Amino acid sequence: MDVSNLDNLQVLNEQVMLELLGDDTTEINSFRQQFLQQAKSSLQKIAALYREQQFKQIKDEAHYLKTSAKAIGAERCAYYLQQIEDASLALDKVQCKQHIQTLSEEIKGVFRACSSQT
Amino acid sequence: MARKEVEHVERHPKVVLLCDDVEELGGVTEVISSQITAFRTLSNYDSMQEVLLEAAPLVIIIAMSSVSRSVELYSKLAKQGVLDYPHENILLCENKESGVGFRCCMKSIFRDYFIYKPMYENYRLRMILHNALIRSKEASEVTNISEEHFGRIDDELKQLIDDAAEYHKTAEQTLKDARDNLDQTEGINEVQTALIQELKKQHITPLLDKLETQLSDSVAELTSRLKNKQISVAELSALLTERSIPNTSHHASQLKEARVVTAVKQPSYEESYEDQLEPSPAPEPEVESRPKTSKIMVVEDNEIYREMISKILRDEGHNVESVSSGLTAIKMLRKQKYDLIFMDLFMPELDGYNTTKNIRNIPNCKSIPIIALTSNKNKDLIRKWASLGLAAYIAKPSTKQSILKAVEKCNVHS
Repeated sequence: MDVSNLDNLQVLNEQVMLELLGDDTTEINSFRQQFLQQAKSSLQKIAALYREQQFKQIKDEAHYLKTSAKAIGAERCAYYLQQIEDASLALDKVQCKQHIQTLSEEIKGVFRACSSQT
Repeated sequence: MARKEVEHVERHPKVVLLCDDVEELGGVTEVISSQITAFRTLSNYDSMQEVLLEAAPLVIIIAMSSVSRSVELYSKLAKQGVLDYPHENILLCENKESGVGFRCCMKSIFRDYFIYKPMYENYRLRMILHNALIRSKEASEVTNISEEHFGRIDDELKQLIDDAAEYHKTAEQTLKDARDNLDQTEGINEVQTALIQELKKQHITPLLDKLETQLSDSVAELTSRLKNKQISVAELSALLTERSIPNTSHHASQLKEARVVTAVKQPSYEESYEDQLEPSPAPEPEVESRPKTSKIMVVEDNEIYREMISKILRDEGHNVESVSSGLTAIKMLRKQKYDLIFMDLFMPELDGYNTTKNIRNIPNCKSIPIIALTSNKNKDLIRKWASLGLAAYIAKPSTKQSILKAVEKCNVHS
């Protein structure tokens, strides 16, 4: 999955999990729910780390969440997590804040997409 | 009675007929050989492997005594890796197994099937063969062109890397000569010599040092970029080759060591007729997996992805243990033996590279296959990591097929 071009990315690309796990809907839904829970706590952690200006930890946490975002097909989330990684690596406070806010909206989008499919 | 195999001994056949009883296929071989002379009949497994490897025939026709045996043979050959090239496969079966043959094609195990017992339509077989030859020739041509093209690019890249190294060497020598000449240069009197020494110390030597560093950095950067391109080209070439291999081969190789059991109630002629009217409740080859006991460790800090990989492997019958950190992995590897490790690159405390370094120092783990789980962005790190011995690397999130293929590549099975 190339998460470098936002235009080609989906909020929730169903194909990703189909190719990984097959068509077991229960399993897929379970992993999606796990991701939403993980995303919520991870986002809170990232926000707290941002307030403390802990850029190295922000990068690590964003990288951690990016793995599961990619795995469930939350491509736009994965894109913004990559942006957060890059911004925190460059110690760019403004960009970092902006991407964290966008990520929050994207996670809500994933939640809506999951709800509409269950 | 001598086997009829000797009648079709073309060294580089374009069409092969794989069977267990040549005597039964007299009519078929006659039809095929009238269509194409580059044809060979094979009934011995070793000869089949040898011919497939050497000649890579475009069309493989399989006519074992039953469909299940044909599927078994094809999957065994696929597992041996002798079918990893573009080809077409055709199943020949008896009328009583027409339903099974049809379903095998629907499941993409075979491209087409033909009823040879009784053989009513020999022109139909000719047609199937004709179409298969056209399709496979086209696929083969595309593969050859892409291999040639990528091979040329790869050669050019290698040449550029060598040229860069040569240029570096020459430029370093030139700089060294300049320094030597400078050291030997003296003025016509002490004042001039002192002035030259001062110039050398203050300006020329720092300039040469700077030039040398810049040169070294630039060549290293250029070489690294060329090597990245080389990897990209190799990956793209491998991807194109993989795509040109027919689905049938992938499906068959997925059967791996599976035992194909024909839990088929052999239908009568009337049942076959009814089967054509109502296709749903028909018998089909049932694939029964053997229990697999290979022990695989998954080292990944993200629990969701860790669980996904573990599930894929467990579903294939592997014994999987997953851990969230490199340190735990090392502890467990000191106590127990594993057949394969899947490992993430970025992990807290100890990353994949350093975990691997430690693992390689554990007795019995020096050659354990390790599959790297990472993203496409970390090629330099992967290269460094690969120097410790990586069996494969998987770009996250990947697919079930790629993951299982990587396991297969490591020769890990039951």
